[in-house]
Amino acid sequence: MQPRQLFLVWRMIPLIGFLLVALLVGIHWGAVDLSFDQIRQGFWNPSETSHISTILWQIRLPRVILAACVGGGLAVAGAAFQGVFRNPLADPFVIGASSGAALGATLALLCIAGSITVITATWQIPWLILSAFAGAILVVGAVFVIAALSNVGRNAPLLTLILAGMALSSFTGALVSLIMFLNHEMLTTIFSWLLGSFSGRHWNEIIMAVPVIFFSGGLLWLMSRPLDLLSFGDETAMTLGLSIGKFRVMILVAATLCTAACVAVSGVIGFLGLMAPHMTRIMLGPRHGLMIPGSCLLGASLMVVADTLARTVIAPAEIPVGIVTAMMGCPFFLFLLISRGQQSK
Amino acid sequence: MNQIELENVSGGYAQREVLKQVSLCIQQGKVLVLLGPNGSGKTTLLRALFNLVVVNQGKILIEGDEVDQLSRKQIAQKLALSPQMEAPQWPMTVEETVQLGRSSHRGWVQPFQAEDSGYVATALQQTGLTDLSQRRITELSGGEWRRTLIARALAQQTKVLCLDEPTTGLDLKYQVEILSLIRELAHQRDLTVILTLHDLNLASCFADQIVLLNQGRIAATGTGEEVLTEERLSEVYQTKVKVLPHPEYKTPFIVPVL
Repeated sequence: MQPRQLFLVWRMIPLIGFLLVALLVGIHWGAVDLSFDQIRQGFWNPSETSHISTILWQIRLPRVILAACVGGGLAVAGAAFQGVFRNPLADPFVIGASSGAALGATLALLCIAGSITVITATWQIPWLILSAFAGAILVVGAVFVIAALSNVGRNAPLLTLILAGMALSSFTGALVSLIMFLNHEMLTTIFSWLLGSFSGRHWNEIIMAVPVIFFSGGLLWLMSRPLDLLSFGDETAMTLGLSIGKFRVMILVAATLCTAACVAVSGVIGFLGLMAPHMTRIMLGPRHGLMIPGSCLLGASLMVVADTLARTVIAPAEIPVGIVTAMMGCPFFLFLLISRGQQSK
Repeated sequence: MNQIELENVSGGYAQREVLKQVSLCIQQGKVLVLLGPNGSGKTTLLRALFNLVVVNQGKILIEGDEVDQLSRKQIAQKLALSPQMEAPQWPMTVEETVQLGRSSHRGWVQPFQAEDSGYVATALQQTGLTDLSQRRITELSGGEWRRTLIARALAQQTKVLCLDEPTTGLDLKYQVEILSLIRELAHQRDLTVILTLHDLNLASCFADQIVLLNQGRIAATGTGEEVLTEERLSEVYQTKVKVLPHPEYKTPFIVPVL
């Protein structure tokens, strides 16, 4: 590794530090605060059956780990979508993953509420996760098929993808609204899921979602140089040696998988996937080789902080974490926009 | 040896055929300038070499290989392009932008090596950008940005360099410096250079071979003296011109007659 690259890697250390502090605070704070001594003892004696150990291993730890993984996953997917669409406004939900997951989860919640006999209590959460995942994949798959059909012989696949994504998002959004309208008693349950939350998530959700998030996120990191090349436009990327069709599909599929896995276990958590890549670009520069792992670390930290706030601000009640990410991120993001605008004057 | 051959090539875009039956041989180590009025097919011809336009008829050979049989990576290892326009999305530094010219020599995952840094430093130095290497590309002037694009193409270390209007937006000093550099590279390093220009007098001074295009067809090809005649230029550009001998080099010097 050359000195300059080494220097850039060193610039990630504050982000690693921020994540470690966020994780520690996330484990420490809650309805029952755990002292750092108790956390240390809980880690050394995981088999101990005290209530401290139970809170640590069965409630706090899986929750902060899942929040970190989902935050990191959404940030990486957001960075990839912004790169591949060459659009700073793109987020992980730009081509319909969120609305697909919402429809899948809504249908799953209806089935659970309808007490369909095959879904036992043990299978309710996996059923919800798989339905949300399948919904996201199906809707994004449909967007790809529509874009492919409408682009035969033409050269504007990105715009068609976004437009098809918007159209199908509206359609599935309308379906979700219709289901909610027709099932008043389910309104709160579905609405809570749509706002996003890590409440009641355990190791099962981590086992189901995290391998997909790591695999797709890692794949996106390996696509860093193609993403750098795509930022100069399709034609330049091609003259510099990139087969753009192949790489674009790989990036979109990996980013969609990552988003779907995140949404399936947490619900729709907005703003973070848009915000974290922009903040990282300001800190580390726009090269995806550093920006993607940087976004992952920052997204993970911000999500852990947001979730900690969500479950402590009005404890013992919880605010959906999606509300916290929007309320926390929006003012900061607007501040960045204004300060950058003033710098460029 | 003919490094690039176009055999009866017709093509362009899905809705419009721009190039019509173009046949051309480009020799190694020469500076070839494509001239012609707006819309005559200069940029389309350059893009055809990179397999970026639809070729309906004929074939394009690069070092004996048909271009549509080569992968993008193989083309990028043989030909480098400095485009006329480019709108980068994110504010990379000049050095990072030039470094991406080395992409086709590495896998998509392999980090850049010291060898790549050497080529990047040389390209930056040749284009006078060493002092600006850490500046963001969004903060460059038009001329500095154009030199960055040329540096990126130089960093690709290909045997053929294609430059689409490389002097547009440059002041006279850099116009002369860039064209002198290009000619030096062609003659000393046996590099083949294909460039489009609008300035007939610069083309006359710097070209080993000129191809004059008119409405997608080759109107004339040869040395400056052979191609740049009063009658032909007046017909192709549809305006009266006078061709005088250049006071210094005795090459054709074109003056419009108002």
